[in-house]
Amino acid sequence: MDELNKQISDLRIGKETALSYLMDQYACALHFFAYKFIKDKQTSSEIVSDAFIKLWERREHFEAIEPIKSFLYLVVKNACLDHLKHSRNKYRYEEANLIELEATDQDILRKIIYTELVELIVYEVKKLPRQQAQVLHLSFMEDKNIQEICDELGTTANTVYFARSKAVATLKKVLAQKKLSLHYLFLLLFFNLPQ
Amino acid sequence: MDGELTPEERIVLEQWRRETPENEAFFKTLTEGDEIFEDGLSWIQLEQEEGEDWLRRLKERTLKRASTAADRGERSRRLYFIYFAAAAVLLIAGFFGYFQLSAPTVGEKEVSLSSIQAGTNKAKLVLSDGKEINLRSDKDGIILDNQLTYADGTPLLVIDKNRISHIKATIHVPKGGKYKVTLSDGSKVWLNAQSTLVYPLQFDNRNRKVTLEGEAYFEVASVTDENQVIPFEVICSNQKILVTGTAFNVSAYADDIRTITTLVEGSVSIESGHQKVRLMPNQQVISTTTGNIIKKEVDVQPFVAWKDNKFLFHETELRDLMKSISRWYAIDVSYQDKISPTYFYGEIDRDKNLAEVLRIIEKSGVKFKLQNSGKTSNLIIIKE
Repeated sequence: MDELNKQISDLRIGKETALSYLMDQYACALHFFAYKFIKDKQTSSEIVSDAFIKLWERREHFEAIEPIKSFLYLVVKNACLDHLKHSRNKYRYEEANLIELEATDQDILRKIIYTELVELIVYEVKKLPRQQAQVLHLSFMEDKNIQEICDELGTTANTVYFARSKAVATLKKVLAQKKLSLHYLFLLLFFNLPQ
Repeated sequence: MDGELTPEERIVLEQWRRETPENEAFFKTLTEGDEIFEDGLSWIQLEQEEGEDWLRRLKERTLKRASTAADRGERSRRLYFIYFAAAAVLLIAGFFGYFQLSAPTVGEKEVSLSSIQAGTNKAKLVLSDGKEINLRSDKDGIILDNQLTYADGTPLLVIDKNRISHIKATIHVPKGGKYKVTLSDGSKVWLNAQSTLVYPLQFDNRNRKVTLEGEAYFEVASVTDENQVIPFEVICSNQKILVTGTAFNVSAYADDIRTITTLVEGSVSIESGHQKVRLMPNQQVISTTTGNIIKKEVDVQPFVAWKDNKFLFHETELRDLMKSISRWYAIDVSYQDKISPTYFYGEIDRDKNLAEVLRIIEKSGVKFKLQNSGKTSNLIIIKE
């Protein structure tokens, strides 16, 4: 934690190395978080970059990592809503009319915890034994979306979904064997939530 | 990393799950659903699609933007200590407030939020010759055009023509007030709650100088004398703003260590300490009592919306938001708990009463209690 605290005070005095460090830590997760929302890679990257610029502009306000994370996720989430508002889903947005957009502390914290858990899963998948990893890889990681896989394999979306759920089951089993998920969940929950 | 929960950890977790239905639902999402695994796989897919150097490219681009994000004259070290000091004061205030609360004094009672009405046109004009006038609240502004009148032409005060140029005027707008002033050169100034503007009733031909404490929106008329542009200057606590025909907002409250100038149109240059900054439209400069200057690009709307009688929040921190509320509804605000930074987005009409405004803010998980002690009402902010 010392490293983190040092980076946060560096951030406050305007050292760009600290900004770089925080991007190493959080940019990928934020990128996925945004992408899940808006399904647009280019825009997601821009939104993440913008969020770090905003953090930089307000750097003197932050003394701990939790508010920094909350700020980044909140800014990204809001930028995504803005993006959706300006593109297609207008009707979906109107009822969420203005103030706060359900951005309670708790809500944004849940999103952070969720994303961090997904990150953990990603980390574990990358460590999977070759054979199991191949199952996953074949089903949907060949740089293709579901439609493309369907086309390539000459099969239906159902089959692909089935393969996907099998892969998920494999993954769950692996994680269960390691008893990782619950313990990690515990750490995430109680080191993130305000007491 | 491996390993089971200890019995104590298990109890903590179980308790947390039972606290609210949301906690339980969230726990189930994390442990039972497939969503999280599917997301893990989509994440990897996204990474592969973006390529290995995605992070490197993002960092390069962002760091470049950060270093050109125009922070000159950076001496944040001092600000750093100021913030620590501020945090300590806040904590102490919170602590103190807590004990006051637990032993309410006689005469303190809870009052209804909806009884607190929005601010209105309210101001006092004080002239350097000793005259004091409470300005009418059915008028929204005053103007000097040969004589001093209300904006709609209703006579206000007759002053001897020869003496006008020697008189300084001070307009005090109290908490819960606003007013508009048209200066002798045609420049317009909107004054927000709890603000004071000092200006000569009649500018001379060489310079135009006004002093501001609080918040004002300026539309400065461009005036030339024999082809020379006559400068317009706004002086406030940490900034001197030099203007040539332009529209901008200045927030320079005594209870805020920051003076914030936001440029809407034209151009201004700002002197703060020994430093000089030039602003382009949609830029903002923040200077602090410690001599720091930060310049940044902003969406100007949230900073000037008050002029059109709106609160417009965009990444506005709770404490900044409550300062606006406190000034406009003429109430005091205090904090019962240490409340972590909460940011707000949204738009609310300023003519709504306090209850209506707080109802919207409450949706973000902040709770309020209003107490009446003597003349003023105190709004206490309670953690959810």
